[in-house]
Amino acid sequence: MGRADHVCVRRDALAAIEGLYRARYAVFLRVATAICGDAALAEDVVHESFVRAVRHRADLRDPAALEPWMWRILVNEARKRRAAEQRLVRVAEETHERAATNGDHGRVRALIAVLPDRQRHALFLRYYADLDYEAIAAALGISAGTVAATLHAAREALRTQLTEVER
Amino acid sequence: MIEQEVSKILDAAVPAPDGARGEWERVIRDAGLRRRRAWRLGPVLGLGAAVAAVAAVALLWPFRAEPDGVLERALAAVGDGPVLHVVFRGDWGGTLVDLETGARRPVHAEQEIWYDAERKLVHQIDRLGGAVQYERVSNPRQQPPELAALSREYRRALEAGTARVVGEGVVDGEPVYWLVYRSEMLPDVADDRLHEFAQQVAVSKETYKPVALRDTRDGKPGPSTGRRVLELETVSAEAADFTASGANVIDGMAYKEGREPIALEQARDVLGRRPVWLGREHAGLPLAEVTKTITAHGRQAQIELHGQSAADARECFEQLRPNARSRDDRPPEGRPEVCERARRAGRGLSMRDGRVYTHGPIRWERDRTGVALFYGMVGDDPSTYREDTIALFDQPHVSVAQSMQRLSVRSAPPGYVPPEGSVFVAAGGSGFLRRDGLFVSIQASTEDLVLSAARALEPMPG
Repeated sequence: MGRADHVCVRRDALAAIEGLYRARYAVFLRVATAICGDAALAEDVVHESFVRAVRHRADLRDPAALEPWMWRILVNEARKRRAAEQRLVRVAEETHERAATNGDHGRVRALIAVLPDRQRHALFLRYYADLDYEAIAAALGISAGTVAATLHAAREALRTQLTEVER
Repeated sequence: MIEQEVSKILDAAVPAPDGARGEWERVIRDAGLRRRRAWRLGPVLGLGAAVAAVAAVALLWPFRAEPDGVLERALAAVGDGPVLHVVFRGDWGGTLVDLETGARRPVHAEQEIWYDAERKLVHQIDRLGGAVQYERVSNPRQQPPELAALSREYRRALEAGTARVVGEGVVDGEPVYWLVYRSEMLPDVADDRLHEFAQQVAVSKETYKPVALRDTRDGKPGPSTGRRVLELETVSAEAADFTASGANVIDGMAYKEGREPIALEQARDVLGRRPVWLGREHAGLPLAEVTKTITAHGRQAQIELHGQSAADARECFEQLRPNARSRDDRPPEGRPEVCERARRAGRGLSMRDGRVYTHGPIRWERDRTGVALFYGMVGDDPSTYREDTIALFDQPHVSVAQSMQRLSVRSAPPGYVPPEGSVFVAAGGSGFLRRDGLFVSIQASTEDLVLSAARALEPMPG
């Protein structure tokens, strides 16, 4: 790629990133909140993810792949933050323990929190961000077939847990 | 359960954060997108003038720092194709007045230009209310300076970071940043000092697309230099349009009109249908004259000259150019011999895009007839024979010209038809409207009279 092409990609990418930010900010925030379990932390995650995307926009070779690329950055950032703060794990454990008595909101959060990361993230990207399997695969760095299997497992797990809680 | 219940669970777990919009400006700032290079002053600038120029910029920009990312986003908004596509709002047009409510709406002319600097192609289309008034595809030998500057220097200044934000403002209700993209320090003979002459672009704070242009001297806009930009982008050669959709107009336009008095009763026969009128009088002005109008439009072909004739004409234009000097550094005296030779090659020599043209014969279209009603005073013209009785257009008056054919109504812009129930008032004050299938032009001593006449038009009885 020549210098002129490089400049062109950087410029187009910035406009595309801005467009994605303005159009889908609320969705990114929702997924980040789901992963982190903390709305304030999620705002930081979304912000930092887009800052990173803008800084590294030259790495984006295919403009059509922007959104999965952006989701991948966001999921990684959210994971990193969660790991650093260990906040979600504690919240999840506590929430799960109180699930039977804490009402619907706490119960459903607990049901999701105990799912394996990959299942949770696939669920969030499928239901909150309305991504197709290909895009989820690109965002999570797995194959589309694995996405289908992961989502199936997540749904089954939710159904099983919900049944157990309702007993 | 599956799909619906999972969806329900997830909705309950993290409700959608409706209304959350984020802070893109903060993202841009934290990403470190800033103007990367300082403004570089031209080589002509001396140190003292440089200090003065920097001071002037500081005064013009009252903020601590330039807004982040403006240049990058302006660059992204302008595109990166080789062809400039720009649509200016024209500085001519008129006002559309609703005859029932009196509501007024400006009708601006638009000038659309495609410019390919590499292929030296220009496609210009002038429109009024969407109707083409003029269209031409040309290949000028010299770069049109304004287009060349917009085509290359604006984008280049944004890419290089030499453009700078010099202020904020509002253009037609749209908040903008003003950017300087081209600047020169030039001496002014009036005070023998250097001044900054600059071209500025206003970019929308929302889209970062250009919305206006202006020239400035020392940061102050020059008179009549502002141009409203409706579109400015650069596109690929494939996306550009260099095909004239209609007549490629370089021919001269010709128009002739004759009038002869007729009786009011003859008006219907002349028009071939029932005329409209304002009654026997309007606003205290009596119907004083009824005339049959015979009009014709023509085109005068422009014939390109070649060979020695063209060379003589070019040499003639060069010698007659303002400030041109002869070889011994004296202004030419009288008409140069080369001009006499060139003149023998044809009438009305003109030069356009480096090519030399002479007038060909006028080709007239067929005559068109109409009827004109004059309300006002008629009287003797003291400059001619005493028995002349003519319409006195320097007194209060209303003149209503009507025809079944648009082109016989002089003030009708080609192709443009005002919506039913409204009148188009041109900048000169004349009105144009459609009424009962007729094209009607109204000229009056005041705009109020134009509007009152437009409202009062009715079919002539009988």
